[in-house]
Amino acid sequence: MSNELWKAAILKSIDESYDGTSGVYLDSGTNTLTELRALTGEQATKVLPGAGNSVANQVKHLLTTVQMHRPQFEGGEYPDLDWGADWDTVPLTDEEWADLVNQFAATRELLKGWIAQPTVAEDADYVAAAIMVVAHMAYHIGQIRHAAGYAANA
Amino acid sequence: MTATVPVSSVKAALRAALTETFDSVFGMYLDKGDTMWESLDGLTAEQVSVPIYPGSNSIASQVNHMIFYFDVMAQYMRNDPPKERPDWGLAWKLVEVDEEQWAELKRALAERQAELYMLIDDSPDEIFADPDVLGGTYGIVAHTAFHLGQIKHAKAAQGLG
Repeated sequence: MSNELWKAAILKSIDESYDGTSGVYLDSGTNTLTELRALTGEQATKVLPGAGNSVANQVKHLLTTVQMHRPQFEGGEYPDLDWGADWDTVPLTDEEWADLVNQFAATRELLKGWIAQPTVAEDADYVAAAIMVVAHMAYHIGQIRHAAGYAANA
Repeated sequence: MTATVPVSSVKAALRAALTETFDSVFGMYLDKGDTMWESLDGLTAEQVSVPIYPGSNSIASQVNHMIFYFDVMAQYMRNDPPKERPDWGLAWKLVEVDEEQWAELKRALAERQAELYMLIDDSPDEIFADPDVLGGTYGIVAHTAFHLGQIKHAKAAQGLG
C-alpha cells in the first residue's frame, strides 16, 4: 500500500478532529474549533461533577500529548512532561481561554506535518503511531464535546 | 519510487487500536480500566438511560448509535454500500432501556466487534486500496474512540468513575 494512501486517511481524520466534517467520524455540521471558540473562559473551566475536569483540562491534555508525540515522529528523547498539571482546575479569563484554543488549533499543522513527512517504507511503528494520534484525539474530542454541551447547558 | 507499507502493517495497527479501545489497554492511548467493555460492564439499565443533560443522549443511545454505524461501515467494507442515505438520527431516538434491552445492546455491540475484526482480518488486501474503505476503517477507530470518550464522560457525570 502506498504511504500516500494510508496517510491520506489519517490526515482526513486529523482535519475532522479540528474543524469541518468529511464523513470520517463526526456528525455532519460538527466543528470542534468553532464550538471551543464559542465558550467563555468561565464555561471552558466549568468542572463537570463526577469527572473532576473541564473542557480546558481536556484541551491542555491534548497540547501535552502533542509534545509527547514529537519524538515518535522526529526522534530524540521523550520530554519530561507534567501530565498532572493539565488536570489542575484553574479559572481562565476569556483571553487566556482564547489563547489556549489558538495553541490547540496550531497543533493541527504540526501533527499533519509529522504524518506527511517522508518515512521509511515498511515502518510498522510509524503506522501505529499515526493511528494512535487519531484514536487519542477522537477519544478526547468525544469528552470535550460532552463537557462543552454540559458547560453550555448546565 | 513510491514508498509503501505492507497492508498487514496497516491491518495490525487497526487491530491494535481496536483491541485497546474495546478490550485491553497496552499503552496505545487509553489509561488502564478505560476500555469499552470495562466501561460498560456492570452498568445497570437505569444508569445507561440517563442523559448527561436534559434533552441530550444517554449511554444506551451511544451504544445503539455505534451499532448502527458499524452496520453502515460494514456494508462499505463488503463493497456493498447502502443504496439509500442512512438515517443517522434513528439510532439516537433510543434513550431509555430496560435491563433486557440493555443486555441485548451489549450483545449486539460484541457481535459487531467480532464481525469488524473478521472483516479486517479476512478482507483481501486489495479492498484496502480503496480510499473509501481504508478511510472508513480508520473512521471506525476514531468513531469508536470518540464515543468511548463520551461514555466515559457520561459515567463520570453520574459519579460512576
